[in-house]
Amino acid sequence: MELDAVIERAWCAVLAVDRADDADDFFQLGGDSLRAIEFIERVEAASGRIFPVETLFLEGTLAAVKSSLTDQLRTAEGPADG
Amino acid sequence: MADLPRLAVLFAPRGSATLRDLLRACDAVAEPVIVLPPDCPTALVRMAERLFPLVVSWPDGSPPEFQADAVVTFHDAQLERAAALAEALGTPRPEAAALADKLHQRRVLRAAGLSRIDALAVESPNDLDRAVSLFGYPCVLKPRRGSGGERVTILRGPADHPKDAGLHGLLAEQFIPDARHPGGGWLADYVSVETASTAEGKHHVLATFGKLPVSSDPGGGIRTTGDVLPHGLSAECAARVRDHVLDCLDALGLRQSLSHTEVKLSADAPEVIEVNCRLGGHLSRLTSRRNGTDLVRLAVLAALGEDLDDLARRPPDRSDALDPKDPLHRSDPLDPSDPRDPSGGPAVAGVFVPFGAPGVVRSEVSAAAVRQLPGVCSVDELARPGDDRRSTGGAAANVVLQAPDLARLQPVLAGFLTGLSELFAADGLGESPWVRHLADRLECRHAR
Repeated sequence: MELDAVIERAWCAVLAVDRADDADDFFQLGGDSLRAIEFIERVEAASGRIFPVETLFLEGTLAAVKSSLTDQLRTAEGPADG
Repeated sequence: MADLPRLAVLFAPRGSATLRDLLRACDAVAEPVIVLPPDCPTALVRMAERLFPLVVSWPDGSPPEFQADAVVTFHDAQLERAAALAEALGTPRPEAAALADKLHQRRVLRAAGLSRIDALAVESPNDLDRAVSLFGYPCVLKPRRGSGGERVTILRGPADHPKDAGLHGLLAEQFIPDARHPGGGWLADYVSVETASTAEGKHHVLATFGKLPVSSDPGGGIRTTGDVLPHGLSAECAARVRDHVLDCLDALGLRQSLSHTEVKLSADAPEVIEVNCRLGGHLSRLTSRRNGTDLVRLAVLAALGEDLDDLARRPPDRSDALDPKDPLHRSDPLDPSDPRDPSGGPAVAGVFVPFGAPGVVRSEVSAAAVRQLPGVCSVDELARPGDDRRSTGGAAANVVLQAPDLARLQPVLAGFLTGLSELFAADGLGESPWVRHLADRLECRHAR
């Protein structure tokens, strides 16, 4: 999914890691508030979505961030017909 | 749902609570107003504004005007501003501000017969010369207020004296003689005790931390390098330390506050180094990991006037995990093991591995690689290539290590130092005096 790829690219760039693992925690991989705002603004610029800031700070994992953004996208698109 | 009390938080970078800590700590108990200092990095301002609905900048001058029910800070340099803000807002004045002057503390403790250490104010070279003539070398020179543990210098001779421009707002005091940690030479000869003091002046010990040896700069400056749970002291020694700290807090009259007291394990009796009337830095991450205790949340609740006696009796949860099985008064709930075996239980350590010298970071090291090293469960800061080494407080990495117990933490720490030295080989980390000294003490080969 394109959104996931955007998130993973920003995650790897900001945390200087080669691979994005869904179980990884942003703040256990050298992430801090300064890197968080960089990550957030990269994802927003690339995706056009508003980033779930509290999800990153309260849950911290890549999986949680992806899930929250995906849920946001589904909510915006509305229920499928049929 | 009733409105939450509004808590003004005077935030500053490199304090004892991050924005993330504050978000978690205030969850469901307070509506935070984040008050930022004049020199706050703009990226940090943007992050605070994204996280919290209420963010106020306070440049120098009169306090900002807004409504709040209480004020708290997690940074030494903000203690007096917190008191000024409390006065302007009409909230209870944080007790901490009155005790922020380390010279005042030393004089109170000495007058109460709780300290043998003499101290003098230093505002000029003449003041420093007088102090040295009275105390001899070595002696300690440090800021009287608001340094967060920075700019502490051990003067071992005239070459260590700072230039005139640096002599303002300082104190000089007698050097507390070195001792040996009973748990082994890899632990420093001092500990810190975190306490919660009620409105009535009853003090609860929350945790006692062992320490890694300090690192020394060529000019005599010293830096802290790490904290360890459990503390590794004998039950008798731990009890002496705690009793001494509680007597000192009584003498200082500390109320409704958390505090962080550093204590030297001198040969005769414990001697307080200093009392910091705020939570110790980087410690809540260790207590959270070991038994779920969120010290930042406790500090928030203390600032809001919550009954700290009552907090001790609540069952542990994500945030208020004080073990209800242990009587809290004058005991350490974070050492739930048999007090006759204080080294029992899981061990955690927060470690800041210092570079040997200032400069620019040369090594390209990923957090993922550091995570693979022995015992590493979190990489909280990591020096990046091209950055000034001071940008991470002079540390190559700031990590949390864990092991099944204190004895097994030693080889884990040794393996971690070896591995990190290999990763930072381009910066000569393995040859730094601190790494070599600790590696020797851990009885392993020099990290190369």
